[in-house]
Amino acid sequence: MFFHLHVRSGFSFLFGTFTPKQLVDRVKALGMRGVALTDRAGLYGAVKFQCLAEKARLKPVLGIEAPLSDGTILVLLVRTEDGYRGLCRLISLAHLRHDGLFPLDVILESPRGLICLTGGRDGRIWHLLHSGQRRRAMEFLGELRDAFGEDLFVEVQNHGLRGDVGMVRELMDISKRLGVKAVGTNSVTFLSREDHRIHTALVGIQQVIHHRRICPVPTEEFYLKGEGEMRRVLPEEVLETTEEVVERIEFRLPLYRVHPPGIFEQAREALIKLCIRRLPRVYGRPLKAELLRRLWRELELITSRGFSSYFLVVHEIVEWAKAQGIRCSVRGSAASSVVVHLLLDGPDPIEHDLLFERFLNEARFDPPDIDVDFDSERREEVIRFGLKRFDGQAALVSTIPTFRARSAIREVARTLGMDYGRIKELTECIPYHLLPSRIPQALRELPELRGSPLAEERELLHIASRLDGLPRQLSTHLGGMIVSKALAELVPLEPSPRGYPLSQYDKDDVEVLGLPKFDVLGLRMHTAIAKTLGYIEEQGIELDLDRIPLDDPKTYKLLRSTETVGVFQVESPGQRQLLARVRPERFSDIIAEISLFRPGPMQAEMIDPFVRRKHGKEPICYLHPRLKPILEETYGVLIYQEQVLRVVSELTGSGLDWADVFRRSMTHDRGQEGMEKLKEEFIRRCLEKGLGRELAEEAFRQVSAFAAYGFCKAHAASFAYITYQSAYLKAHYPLEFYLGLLNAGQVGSYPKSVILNEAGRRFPVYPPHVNHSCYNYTMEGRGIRVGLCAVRGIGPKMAQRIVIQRRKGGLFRSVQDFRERVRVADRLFKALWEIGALKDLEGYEHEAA
Amino acid sequence: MNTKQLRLAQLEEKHLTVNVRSHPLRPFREDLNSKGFATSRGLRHKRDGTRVKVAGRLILVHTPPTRSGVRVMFITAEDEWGLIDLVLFPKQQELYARTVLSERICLFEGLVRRVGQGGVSVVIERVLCLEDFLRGLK
Repeated sequence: MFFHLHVRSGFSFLFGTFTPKQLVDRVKALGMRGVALTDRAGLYGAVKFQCLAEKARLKPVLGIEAPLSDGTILVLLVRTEDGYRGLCRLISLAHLRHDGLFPLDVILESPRGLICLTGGRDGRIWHLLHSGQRRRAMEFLGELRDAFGEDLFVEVQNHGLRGDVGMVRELMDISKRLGVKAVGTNSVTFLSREDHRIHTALVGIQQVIHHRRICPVPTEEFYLKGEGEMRRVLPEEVLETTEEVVERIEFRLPLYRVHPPGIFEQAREALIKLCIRRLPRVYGRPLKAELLRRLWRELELITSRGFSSYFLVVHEIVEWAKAQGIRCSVRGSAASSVVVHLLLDGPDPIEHDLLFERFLNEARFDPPDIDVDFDSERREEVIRFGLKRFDGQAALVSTIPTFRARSAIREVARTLGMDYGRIKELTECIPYHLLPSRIPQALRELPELRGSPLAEERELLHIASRLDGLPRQLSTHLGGMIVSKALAELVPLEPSPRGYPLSQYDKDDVEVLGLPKFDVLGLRMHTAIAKTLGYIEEQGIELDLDRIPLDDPKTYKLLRSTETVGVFQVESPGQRQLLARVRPERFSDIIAEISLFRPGPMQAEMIDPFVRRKHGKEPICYLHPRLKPILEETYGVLIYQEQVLRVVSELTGSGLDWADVFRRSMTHDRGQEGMEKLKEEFIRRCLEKGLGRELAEEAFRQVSAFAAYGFCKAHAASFAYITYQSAYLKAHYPLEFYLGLLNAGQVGSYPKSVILNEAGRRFPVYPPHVNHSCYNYTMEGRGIRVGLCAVRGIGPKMAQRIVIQRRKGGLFRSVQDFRERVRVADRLFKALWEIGALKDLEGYEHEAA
Repeated sequence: MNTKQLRLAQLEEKHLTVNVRSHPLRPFREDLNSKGFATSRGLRHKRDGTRVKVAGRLILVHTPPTRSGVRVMFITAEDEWGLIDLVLFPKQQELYARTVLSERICLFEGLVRRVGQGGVSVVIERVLCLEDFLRGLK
């Protein structure tokens, strides 16, 4: 039986042409029993590959191509758990310290648990033999043999190129002389011969767009050949050796096994102490027994699972951020925990009736995931602190973007030598999220693409559509951070573009590996709010935004007016229309508003009954009187996931843990059989609880129809606070709020021009002027002075130069004075003059003439 | 057409990322008024089902997934007085989707749809780009 042991997928970025899924499917179709994945310098696709291979009952072999300093490679395959740990450390070392090159001395020092293949035609042995340096080739092979012993194999390949047959003979000869076994491989780069064109296009992208000196493989023969095809080009014995190699592999990645961070000593005691210390400060005295019972229940679960450290890590980072004055808030299901409320603030789960079981419960074994939004402008500080504080145990999570239709067309078109004008024509009106494989369909169906010149570009279309799902590069996830004692041994790392340690596994893989992740997210609205508060303070007004009353009439009036441009979460056209219908009067209406305008509730058509019932145009009814207390706040409509849990628990008499299992089952495609089983179980439990069969069946019908569409109330409640706060600021301090929005980057859906135009209808807006403008927008009297940032071509440095000159030498007196003190290019000077930024300066009219 | 305003709007468009002294529609407002175009402010007082003409700079075009799978384009445009929400259904998309996705300023004709209290949108029946409108004036 033959196994491919040297395989480069799409995770050898812009080189391999297939995804792990396509690889597994093809290997299965060829009747092979296993396959290796050996991408360039990384294990990027390893987790996905192992999951897919196991599902297809194939034996997965994990490994990499390790590039050496002389441009050659070695192939390293993981044989044991030790080998995996060593390989993770080796990859991290190569990327973090040696620019992605693997130091040979380190490879030779720590080969335990790794199998080494000599790299085929990209390996040093092949190169030395090819250039007639047989003795050096043998010396190098001897070095490798001394380090790897029986775990070393000479890689023999035949791609039908001139000299390949002779090279096979020579490689087998030296392997015999040194007592090293030879193994046949094919450096698989694509799945079929025809895909050589896709491969050359990908390499072309590297050459043309990234200016890399790299060549495509020289022939079509680097495809995933079947056993018969391999037997035609390589001797039997080297193919048989592949089975021996695979048999030696003992390792499988430990998946779905949670690895608590284990950072702090006596974390359990520390967490309990911290919560108890904070209790009276947050909840006041006397403490209610119900609260204490709830806290204890949460703590018991958290500590028994070993997650105390995780909560302490997040707490430490958030505390640090708060101490620096960085605005932040918890989002997601974590907000339903009293422990989280005590440690990180956020909505009070008791006040808003949030369920801890939606976040963690006895039946859930995945690690907790706490997401915190920080002021976007200062998020970097938080990341820096976290990585420094937990140095060696912390890394950012990666994300692996794949090609979209636009990027695929743009990049392939460039490799085909098309100019930018043509590329613009070809990509016009292509929807942003369209997948490359859907381009032909879009050209047929979307009216705006009818007559598009793209339809005529057959080669471009063929190549671009084949890039679907292929990874483009490793990028940094929006904010995921892993903190774990086991990090170095479980996750290979490399530097992010900003130089931070970045995991080679993406968010989903990190979850499958069972590593708790903490999201340090950036929220522009926090930036806008922080700036608004700064402007308010400058007016001498003290405002504690976290303590404002939640029943402020002016705020609700603003929300009902639908004049909510700039207000968090409720400014989009759809949200504004929904505001007009819901007409919020209390805080819980805002929570509902945020939850209703989501794909799930919209698809389940929850909006109409909610609105009609709220305004008394439709009677409120409940499936069973016992459900009234649960659904009363939403007029009998099942909107929140928390309500689903409660309803299921109430009807079936089960605990909230099982109810959560039921809810999550509804969100996954279980197939007919699975659904029937679930239904039977649900009905059985209802009957036991005394419900009639008819009612139980109707209950299942209703709950199953809505369970998958509900929205997490804890998340909505967290966001509702920010919505309320931003609406409050707009209602009471509109000028400061507009300024905050204008100076916070791209906040929300609308461009700055829309914000400024709205501000301009209420306050005076002054154009940019060299004697009055700073870089940013500023307050001038009770109006807004547009900053120099709004002038095309003026960056922060030029703006700073103008402001510094003004401060040093006083206001610019004349155009001449400005030109002498601030040396600007003619083009920029003309722009400033044309927009009136030099108006009223002496010589302005003369310059005009 | 107010040529002074047009010059100002063009200069701002060329050199600024925002418009300060002249909204891009302002130079054409008199012509638009004379042809019976309503402003976003005037739109707020129109009754449900009224036929209207409005003009605006295109700000957002959104095509969210719908339960039925029908593709509806939700458009936000802006004139000197505020935002205008518009809806373009599939039949009209056949004729106007390209215009809406490629033009900066568009003129719309359609029916007012009132939603709740204060919510107004226009269901588009016809779209014209600014150039065609100006050509018609000449």
